[in-house]
Amino acid sequence: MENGTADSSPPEKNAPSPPAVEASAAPGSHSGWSEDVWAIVLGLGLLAIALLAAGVWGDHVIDRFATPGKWSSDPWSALVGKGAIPLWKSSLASLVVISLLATPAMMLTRRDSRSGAPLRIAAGFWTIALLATAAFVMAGQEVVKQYGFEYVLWALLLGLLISNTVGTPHWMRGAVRGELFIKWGLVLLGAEVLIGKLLLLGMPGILVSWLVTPIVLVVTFLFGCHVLGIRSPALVMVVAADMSVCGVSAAIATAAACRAKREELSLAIALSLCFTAVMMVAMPMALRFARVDEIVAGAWIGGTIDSTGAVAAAGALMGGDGPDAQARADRAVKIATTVKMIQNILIGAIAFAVSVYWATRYDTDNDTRASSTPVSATALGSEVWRRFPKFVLGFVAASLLASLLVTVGSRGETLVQWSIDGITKNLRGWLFCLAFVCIGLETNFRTLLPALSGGKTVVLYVCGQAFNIVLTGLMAYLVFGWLFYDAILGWLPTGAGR
Amino acid sequence: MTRFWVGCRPGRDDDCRANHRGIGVLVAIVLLIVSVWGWVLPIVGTTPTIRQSIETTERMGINPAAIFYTDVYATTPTTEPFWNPH
Repeated sequence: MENGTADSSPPEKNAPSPPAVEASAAPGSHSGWSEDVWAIVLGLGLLAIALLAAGVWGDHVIDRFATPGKWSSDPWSALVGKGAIPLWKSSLASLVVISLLATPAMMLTRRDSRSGAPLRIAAGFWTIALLATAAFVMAGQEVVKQYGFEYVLWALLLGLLISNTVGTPHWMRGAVRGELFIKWGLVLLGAEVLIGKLLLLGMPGILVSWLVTPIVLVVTFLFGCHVLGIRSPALVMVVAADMSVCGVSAAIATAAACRAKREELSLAIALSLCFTAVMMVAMPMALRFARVDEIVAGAWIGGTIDSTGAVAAAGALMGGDGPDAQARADRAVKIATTVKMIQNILIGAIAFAVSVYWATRYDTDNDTRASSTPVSATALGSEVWRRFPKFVLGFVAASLLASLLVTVGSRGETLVQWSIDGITKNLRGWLFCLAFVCIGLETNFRTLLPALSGGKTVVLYVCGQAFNIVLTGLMAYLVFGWLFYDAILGWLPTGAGR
Repeated sequence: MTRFWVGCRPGRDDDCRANHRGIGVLVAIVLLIVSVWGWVLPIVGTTPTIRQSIETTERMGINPAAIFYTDVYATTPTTEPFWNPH
């Protein structure tokens, strides 16, 4: 997403698309701060404010910020909710906070004076916010929600609808800043990745998640680049991370790390959501048909299905019929979500590793291999630093800060939980939603076709996922069905015991 | 845009025609979205199979559309060590 070129013209039909997330400063930055620095300052600043607010007001901060909720037949109920504070009020509060914090960043990183005018930015931002609200309401319909079609998909489609029919109006373009919203959201996401969770979750989950995931990621990447011959390594990496780690959030983080183009990120997310919806129903059916033990099945589902919510839902479907259906479902959900949580923690490590690998290996401007001419260690170091997406450091810092606070004691853990559940998680949801509306507003359908690489991207996803299923299944049998089986039975709650 | 309400000059203004077509497509898709979300999906949600699966996930505190693990309330109680060799 370019910052300023978008200010002057609508998406060109066949113009090369810029990265979904730029790594360097906007050329016209008026503050001397790049968007990465702004994302770190805004993300860590907001996290600090959230912790402070939770410390002062306690659990009163919960429900003050929210996103539209679930509804079945009356869309208005998505904006009303069931809590003491109507969801439209807490949604509006979230958008006001984001608007107040984002406006200076948008003005100071603008490329030309017209696009940075406060009134234009405000008008553009609130129009994008309206589309984001519509995306949340669409995703909140209970049938849509049940099959895991998350708000990012609807946000993207609404943006695409506008840009590909009437075109994105010029007055909106100063606020169409998807990369800023994504980076800011990712820094906030860092606070949700608690390293301490790993210590609680232990060896069996690590064996399944941490051994299989990197293998699948690397094999899928090599397969896509060398066997299928997909020309964009960034696209292959985003699809591989999306499919092997944890779906949408991994795709967003990896796309930022390897500077994938916006249509590549959009395509990877669309593929993930479609296949997740199918696998969420088909995988538990197949495992029940094959009479796979629910503990092994839970680990298999947790290590394979992309999205965390879909993993839990698929685990719940393992119950089937019969008197002990609920207990079987409980066991499967617990194992599946635990394995997935361990896998989710990998998101930071993967994004960090990919950003370092990309900075040393590829010329990020056009995804070609970087020059192989020998350079000094200092020159290499400074080159890596120049190309490195620095907001990743904000992600890591937020994760370390939250993890450290959790270890301080129950007070620290409560504080982190209140600030995440009450404030940052909802604001992060809004930021990702705004980002995907912006990506849609800057994308032309025609640019999505080359990203499909004549169907090779779909083949890549299917082959990678097939390999993932086989390898995860083997590890799940080995670890959860044999090595640690008795220990896991003892760990499961008595009520869900066998 | 200014000529939208008075029509395009015959055979002379392709941009104007494209603009009209764009507005038409936008309006048609918005109407489609409104009718699917306002009418079709609520009906689909009342079918017994879908209803049962929605109620099951609701009862277990699962949000199938959750993007990240902190969104899944079913995972929250997992605080005791999963594997403790001692």
